[in-house]
Amino acid sequence: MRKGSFVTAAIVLLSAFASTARADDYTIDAMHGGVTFRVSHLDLSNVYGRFNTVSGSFTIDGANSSFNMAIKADSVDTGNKGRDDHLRGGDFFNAKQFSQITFKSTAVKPVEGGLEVTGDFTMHGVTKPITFTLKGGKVAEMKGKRTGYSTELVLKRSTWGMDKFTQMIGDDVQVAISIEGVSK
Amino acid sequence: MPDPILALKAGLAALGAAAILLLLGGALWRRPRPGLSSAVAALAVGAGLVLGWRVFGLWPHWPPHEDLDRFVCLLMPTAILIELIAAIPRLPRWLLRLSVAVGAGPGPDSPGWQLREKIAIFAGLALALAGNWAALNTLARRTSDQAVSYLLILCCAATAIVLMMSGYATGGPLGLPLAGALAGILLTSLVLPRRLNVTGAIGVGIVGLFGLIVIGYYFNELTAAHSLALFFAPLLGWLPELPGVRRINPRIRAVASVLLVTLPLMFVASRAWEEFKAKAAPSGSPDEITADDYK
Repeated sequence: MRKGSFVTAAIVLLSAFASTARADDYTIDAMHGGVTFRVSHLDLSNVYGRFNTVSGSFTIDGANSSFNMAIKADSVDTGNKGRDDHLRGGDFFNAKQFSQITFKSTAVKPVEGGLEVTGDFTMHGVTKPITFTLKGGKVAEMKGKRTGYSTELVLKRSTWGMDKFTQMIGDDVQVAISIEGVSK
Repeated sequence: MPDPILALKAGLAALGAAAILLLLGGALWRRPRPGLSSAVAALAVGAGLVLGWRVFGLWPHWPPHEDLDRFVCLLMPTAILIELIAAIPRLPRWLLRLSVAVGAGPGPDSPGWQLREKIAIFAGLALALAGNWAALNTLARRTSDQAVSYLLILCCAATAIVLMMSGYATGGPLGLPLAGALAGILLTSLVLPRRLNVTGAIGVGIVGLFGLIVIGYYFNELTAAHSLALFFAPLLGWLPELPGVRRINPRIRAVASVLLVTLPLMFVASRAWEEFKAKAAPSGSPDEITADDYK
């Protein structure tokens, strides 16, 4: 009995140690990477934009990996002040009321070349689950250990209650996300 | 910016709906009690709003999700309901109206305020709304409900236009059906043989004006100066009623009252237009050489 307990305790301790040893915690380096988007205008052309304030952290640990990301909605930047003010207002992001766009992963599955991530995406005060595949995971050294991932996905903005002007400005928004993390 | 033809249609639809409902009410009663006509006028504004907003294609999310939803689904129906209840004799109507004023501030998820700050802002806004409401009701008793309705129509229309130009293209138009519905009340009450009490419509109008300005200022880009000018402009209608001026011919005073309210509204609208044009201009490099550099 005592021998059995000892073995169980050893296994638990070893697995816990192994788990902490494998996990890598990273802080998103806002200098390298970004969140950009493009959306059609009158089905004629695309307008391109980005969010200038992105922060967050992630942990790489196989299926136990996790991702947290926050974007300041009022940092939207399409290179035109009038349009950016309009995007921040009640017709689109309503950034004074819903200041943060966030993503928090709920499940991560390692796939070939990256990770399939499922999580809760909150925008415009509405939270909906999304799934996307992050490609990357190479590791480099520059002022600490770094790794990075990228993905492209399509978000239907009306799903998050952002349903104004969908005849004029596309409902489907092509989003590209690239993150680089520095080991904590 | 929304289609101006559609905006006109929405305003006219609201005018028509409000006018028809008040006319029906007027046809039914031979000697209208003030409370009853006030309640029907408030209901008629509500009917006008629903039709006008529908014509515009504006329909809120349910349950209310953001400021515009709260305005359409909660604030305006509450204002109409309170005016209906206020029509019942011997009820503390100003206590009821004060409750609307307290709840008419920015929504529960207002941008990052501390509790003390929030209480101060809500109290200040409630006082401003209740004060303006009481002052306009008193002005209506001294002049006429129709005169005050006219001033409110000007302010609601100007607020809608300024709000659109400040960048809220779907929220601003909410004010046009409000102006249209009030215009329907005004025209009908002028046509009907007996002078009607339409304080209910005035109450709904002032709450609507306040709600639009709160949305514009707290959640969009309406400036503080424009907000104050738009909200308090109807009070300028008091100037020709001050002691000393009251001896002047009533028609001259009525024209003066309209001019005193219209002029600041026109000034605010022209400033908003200039700001809108400046913002809409394509951005160039700050170092770009322009013709002005050679002067």
